[in-house]
Amino acid sequence: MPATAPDVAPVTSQKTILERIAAGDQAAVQECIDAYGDLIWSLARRFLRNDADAEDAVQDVFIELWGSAGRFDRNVAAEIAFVSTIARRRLIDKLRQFKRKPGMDSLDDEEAGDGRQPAVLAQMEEEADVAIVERVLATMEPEHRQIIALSLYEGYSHSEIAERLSLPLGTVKTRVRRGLIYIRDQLKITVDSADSAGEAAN
Amino acid sequence: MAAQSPIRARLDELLADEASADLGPDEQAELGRLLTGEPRADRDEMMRVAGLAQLALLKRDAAALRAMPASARNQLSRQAMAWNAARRLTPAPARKTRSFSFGPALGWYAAAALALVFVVSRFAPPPPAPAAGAQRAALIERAPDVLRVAWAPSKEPGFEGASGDVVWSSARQEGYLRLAGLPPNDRSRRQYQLWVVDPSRDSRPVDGGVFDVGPGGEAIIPIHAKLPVRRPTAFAITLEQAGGVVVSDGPMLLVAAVSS
Repeated sequence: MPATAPDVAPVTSQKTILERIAAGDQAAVQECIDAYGDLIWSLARRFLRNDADAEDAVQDVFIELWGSAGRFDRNVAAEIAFVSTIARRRLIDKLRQFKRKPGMDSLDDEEAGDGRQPAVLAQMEEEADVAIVERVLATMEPEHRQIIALSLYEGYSHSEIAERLSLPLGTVKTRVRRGLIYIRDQLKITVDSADSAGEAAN
Repeated sequence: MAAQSPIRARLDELLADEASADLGPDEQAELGRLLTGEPRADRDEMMRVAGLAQLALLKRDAAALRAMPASARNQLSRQAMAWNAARRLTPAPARKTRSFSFGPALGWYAAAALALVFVVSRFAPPPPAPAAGAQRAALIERAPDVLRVAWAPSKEPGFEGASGDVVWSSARQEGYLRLAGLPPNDRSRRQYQLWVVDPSRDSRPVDGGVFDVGPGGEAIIPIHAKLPVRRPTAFAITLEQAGGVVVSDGPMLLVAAVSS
């Protein structure tokens, strides 16, 4: 008996979730939540340090993500990098909106998901740029790395970091700036080297 | 690596401050000016780097990796269904416009008066699509959550005769202004700017984009909200310098309030 032809066209495996959303694939909208929900939730919780604010922020991030899917260009950045860029802008908006004060942290450590294990590590393992940034961070002085983490990952303002680490505000600001610029330059060098190697191989 | 110009070096500093959530209003204005003079600068690059750093740090912080709570996940799924429903049949055109998106700097100091602090030129959104009227009609017909509110009569001199309405779908993040009787503007000097008040996201209004009005007739203007709008309570129009401003102190020429 001949196989029955599927009544829908198979999904093109090469297309990313955002590319499918941009193309009008409605199933991809829910898949976007499945793929990136835990990631954005984890980032938001850590950055905003408040479950209620994180939940609010995640809603905004996804509305923007779906609406911006047409802007995703895989030649510029990997999808996870695009997602984290959009998430970061919205988290910064939320941070300003909520004007978190020290001591306002409200993370519910008992709050459980729906029994699932978060599926974010594999996505990050697959992204080469994340690995490059990890290596760059590992080469930094511990104090510099701590300042970068407090600022970029935990959402502390430069003045909060200065107070917490008993450092001049200008020192904190300079180290955050230099750290980011250094990471950017290292990413460029690595990408340029890979491109040159590719061209040489060809 | 080649030596940088002082302007590019300063631009890097400001973009790093922006990416680390530490950009004050004066620096935002400076960043806007520098970006205007450096059209090839990639505004997203430093934010992307900061986002990658965030991922790298999360990867090393196993305790922070959490599954999203079922309640939040269900809420998102409902939002996804609404978003799909609103987009069905008339997919929104992808926006390729470059915008400076200074949303966080917007200050809505009071409904009575807009306290204006500074201005920054930005690229205007693209001109309205020829089919804006048809798109507006389709939105009204098909978006289940669509709002439709009329502009309140204006008491501002020269704007007393202005009329029309606003339609907006939060699920679709799409909306249109319908305007009649608004005085034409000289787009090289002054442009109209829309503001969207959404207290559910911020006490400050969202920049809804700049637009131009020609002589005569009714104009349908697409709304280009620079940030997601979820539960708008009012829409307001001001007249600003060409390119628009980040924070407005101009009078609200037209206001459409959403009844609760």
